[in-house]
Amino acid sequence: MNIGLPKGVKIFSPEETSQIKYIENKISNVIEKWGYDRLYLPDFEYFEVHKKALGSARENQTFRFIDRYEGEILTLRADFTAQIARYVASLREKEFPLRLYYNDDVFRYIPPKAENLWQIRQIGIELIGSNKFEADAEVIAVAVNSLKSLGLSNFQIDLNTVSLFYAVKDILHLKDKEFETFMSFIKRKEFFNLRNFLIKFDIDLDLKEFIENIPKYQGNVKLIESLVQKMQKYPNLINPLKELIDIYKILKSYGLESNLFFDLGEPKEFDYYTGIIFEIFLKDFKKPIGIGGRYDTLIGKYNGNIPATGFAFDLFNLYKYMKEKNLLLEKSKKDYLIVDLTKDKENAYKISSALREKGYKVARDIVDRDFKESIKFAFKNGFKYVIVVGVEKNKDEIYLYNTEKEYKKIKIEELIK
Amino acid sequence: MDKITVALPKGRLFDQTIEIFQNAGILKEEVKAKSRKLILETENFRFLLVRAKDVPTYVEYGCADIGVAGDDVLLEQQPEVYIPVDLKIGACRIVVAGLPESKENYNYNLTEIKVATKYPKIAEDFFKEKGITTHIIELYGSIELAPLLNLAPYIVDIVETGNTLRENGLVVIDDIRPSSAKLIVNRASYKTNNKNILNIIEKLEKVV
Repeated sequence: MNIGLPKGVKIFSPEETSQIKYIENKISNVIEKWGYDRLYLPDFEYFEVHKKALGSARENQTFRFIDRYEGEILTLRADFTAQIARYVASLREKEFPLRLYYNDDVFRYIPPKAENLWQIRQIGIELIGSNKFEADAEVIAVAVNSLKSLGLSNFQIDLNTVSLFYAVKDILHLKDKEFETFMSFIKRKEFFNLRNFLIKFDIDLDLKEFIENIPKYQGNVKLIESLVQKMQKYPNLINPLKELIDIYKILKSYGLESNLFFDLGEPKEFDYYTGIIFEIFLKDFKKPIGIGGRYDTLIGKYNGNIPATGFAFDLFNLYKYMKEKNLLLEKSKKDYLIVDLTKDKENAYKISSALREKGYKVARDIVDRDFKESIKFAFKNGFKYVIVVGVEKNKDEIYLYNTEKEYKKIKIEELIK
Repeated sequence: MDKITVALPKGRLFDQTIEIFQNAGILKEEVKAKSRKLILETENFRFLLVRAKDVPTYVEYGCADIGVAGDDVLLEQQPEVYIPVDLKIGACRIVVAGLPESKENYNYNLTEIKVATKYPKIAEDFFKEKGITTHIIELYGSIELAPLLNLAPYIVDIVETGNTLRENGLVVIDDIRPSSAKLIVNRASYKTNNKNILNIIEKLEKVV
């Protein structure tokens, strides 16, 4: 009999679940403090509609199925930003800025090797209706404050802008297919192919050199400033670079400059970004834990022309890091397990409801067994205390265990007062 | 400075890579892979001797910072790594081959094809672009046997000199693409050990 799970999904134990929930609570508290409202979004949509806002790579990763009533193709949610773009476009009365957040799963079919999951949990925000750098900076600041609320300070934010690549596309008059090839060379840092690709273009040497070296541009703000100096002749190229410097200045005023890093050679996988993009890394951890950026044309794929920016945390990666570094507490404890040896169990009901009312987490032992076994079970399963009712004849007194061996006798009145 | 871990395929590519590293001035010592040792240490490097097909795996998962792998392996596996330098060693071609009499049929309105190969993905991608349906028979070695024993009329394989094909009475029927060995780099290593790795890349670029 097969009782396995499909590849790409996993179950988190009660302890893991409570730790992930702890991370989610901390982050959503910060997000709400910045005035964001939570949205519950549907787990599936029409494929035709959802895919409008996905890149072709993401579109191929969708989990699709048929609606047997209408015969339409549906898809599980592959991207929250796409759903929110559709939602905002559908609003009849739009008032901006809109600040929205979400916390749920996306479903993406990726090759099932190693620990790749098909169901990925995210928490993220969207700031809709502003094309100002302040909006991008706010989004980054919310991400940073979320991490700080979890006690994390060794993060690095890699900044980049996709406008730079579109500027190169314009300057070289690349067709879409050529641009795709060009970007694949940049993404995989294929320096030799990039050089070969540029040979056929009749352009100035300094421009050629600039483009050839894009995958190597990693560094601090001085690098970006020096590139601006060098490329004065090409306003198309320096505008995106100046944008990066502007954002940097705002984030510097937030005291974040030591966490900022520029990485121009790392374009993101999404087709929908239009400006500043960023990825968040933690020291000694290989995968990014968050990604975000500006998407000014995405909502327009549905309706209207509305600038927006946002980001999302990959909660499982964040969780994995905190677990590895022992930054998570054990599962929060339950307070009391009540074992009632009497027949009518009256006292157990009375005590448990009184304690719950006072805010304690209380469970009843409902298995018939020797009460020593019950006590063992309780301490093994995360209870702080065990209350045993009816050990002695005296109905008003209970035994309160704080370890497997130690107990004291207490009057019920005293316990629940 | 932390040592850089390099995953290298055993065999000829290993010696050629060591030579290039020496010429580039990033490796001073002699390194010979003669014993059964799988890890060889030098002052600046730790070399891992692995199967050619496994190099991308070691690099992708960060057990090695860099490695050397042929286009054939990279195209087949599509690992998430950077590919900054063409080392121009291990040069060969990826081709379609078969018995001479199969040539005519290949050139005549082919709609489906049966192919024996070590490279199912490369073969399938190549024929898919031509609108030809592919039936793949996956083999791990001695691919040339397939047309001789009528397992499949065509094979997709790498050829260097063409000697093996000739000795078994096969001919090249179609050319898929050239292949040569590339330097590959783990993405996180590139980020966290940027200076060192960029230095290696630039020195290698000068000698190849």
